[in-house]
Amino acid sequence: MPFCTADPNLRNDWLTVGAASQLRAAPAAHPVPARLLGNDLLLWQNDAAAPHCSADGRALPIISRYGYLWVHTGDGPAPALFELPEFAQPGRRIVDCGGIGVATSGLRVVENFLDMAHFPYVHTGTLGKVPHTEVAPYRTAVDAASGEIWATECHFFQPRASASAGDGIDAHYRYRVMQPFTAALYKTCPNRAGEWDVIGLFVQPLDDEQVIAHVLLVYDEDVLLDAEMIAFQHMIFGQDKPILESQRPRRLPLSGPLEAHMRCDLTSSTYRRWLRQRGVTFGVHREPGA
Amino acid sequence: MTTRCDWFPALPAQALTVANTVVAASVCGQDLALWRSASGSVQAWEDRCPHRGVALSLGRVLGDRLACAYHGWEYAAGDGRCVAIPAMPHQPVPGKVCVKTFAAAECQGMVWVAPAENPPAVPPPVAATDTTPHFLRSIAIAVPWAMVEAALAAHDFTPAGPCQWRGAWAGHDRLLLWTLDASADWCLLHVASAAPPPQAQLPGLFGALRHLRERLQIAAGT
Repeated sequence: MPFCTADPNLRNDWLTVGAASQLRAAPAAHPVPARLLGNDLLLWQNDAAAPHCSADGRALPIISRYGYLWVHTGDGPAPALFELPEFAQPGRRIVDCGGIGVATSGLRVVENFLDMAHFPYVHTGTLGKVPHTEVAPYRTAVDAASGEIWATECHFFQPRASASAGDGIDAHYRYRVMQPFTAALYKTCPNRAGEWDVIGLFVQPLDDEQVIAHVLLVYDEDVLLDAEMIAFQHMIFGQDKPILESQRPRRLPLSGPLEAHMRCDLTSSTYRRWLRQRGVTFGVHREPGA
Repeated sequence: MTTRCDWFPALPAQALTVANTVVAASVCGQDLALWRSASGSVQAWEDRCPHRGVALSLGRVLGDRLACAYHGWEYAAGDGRCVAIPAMPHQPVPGKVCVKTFAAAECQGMVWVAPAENPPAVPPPVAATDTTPHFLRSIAIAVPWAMVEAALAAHDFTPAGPCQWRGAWAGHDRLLLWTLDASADWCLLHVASAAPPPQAQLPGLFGALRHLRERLQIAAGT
């Protein structure tokens, strides 16, 4: 079975197929099935715990990084995977929150992850609360060296910014888009002034309109159990999921009159322009006849 | 078969309480958010926020406005114009942001919707009754509209106007039925009684409706 897209933005880059821990009990004789870009994969690890991947009887390059498996489906050389230095920083808690299936384009999922304006409405009482609805001006830029998008100087009033937050805080955020389907959020750490908690969003595209959204926490957190941190993230994503699955079209429009853009949508506009400039077609809405 | 006009019977008006519910509906393949503003008028809007495409039927009625569930953008009853963007509370809302709206009218207990670009020149058809009907049930049937129409004709119901039938069935002798062409592969059958229904015979009627649905869906292979 062939992969369902030739988009070089996906075929020539690393795409996640889920947590590395799924291979702990998967020797070559008992591989784990996975799905990526409309194709079935088999994943397993050898006696040295090195991951392996095959599709259509052909071996594909696979690496284990940041607790996740990353597969390269293209024929050309694989680029370096993005950097996430906090992952190796001493004292950080690493918590894999698991994958959540969402029936929409992965680009919609990433755009939702980059958005603050929905906090008071979708995450009422945790990440936001009416009447604190204003999105204060912030900056976005594309880093010349890495090609990544950074949104900085973001802040938003949050009644309960994380599972460990006691009172409401003016939470400070920095957003980062590493690849079309991966992003990270750096947010005020309620426990350690000056540190940033990191949430990684790694989207595994099953096809143009079906994804698994994987969430990784890289936190300075000493008290909460893994289960409490995971439950908080599941609650947040459970609130986003019905909104995301109701969006029409499911694929993201990168231009045209279908959707309105305001100053408060700066990250979204920047992300769409960045996708357009890269020529991304996978998960993108095309006007009939266009 | 009954005739068709520009209006389609979307749902019993009693399902739309004032300034409260938003109902997701489908009429001739057009997804709609149906709601009733504080002033009482029924609204039939495209079920899609013009900001990020989220279903407006997930939203909330705020008096004479409908607020989107995603970012709280508010749209005014009537023309569907955006009147508030809470993320930018101090800036004027650009006039061009607008929900697509359709003509809707209430007629003897039924909400009629015209899913066309332009509103029809004539009001919706009058029901074949001089009193407000007692609505009993609306059932979805996963077959094309014409199949349900043919089944009602075969049951000896009498055409009573566009998408409307009257007749007797399962111990109810003054039934009124409306058929809604929801989309290419499913429709809604609204069932009402012109007189207060005999309660003891309702289970028999509902059983007959379920049986009709099963029979049609098996015939259509759905």
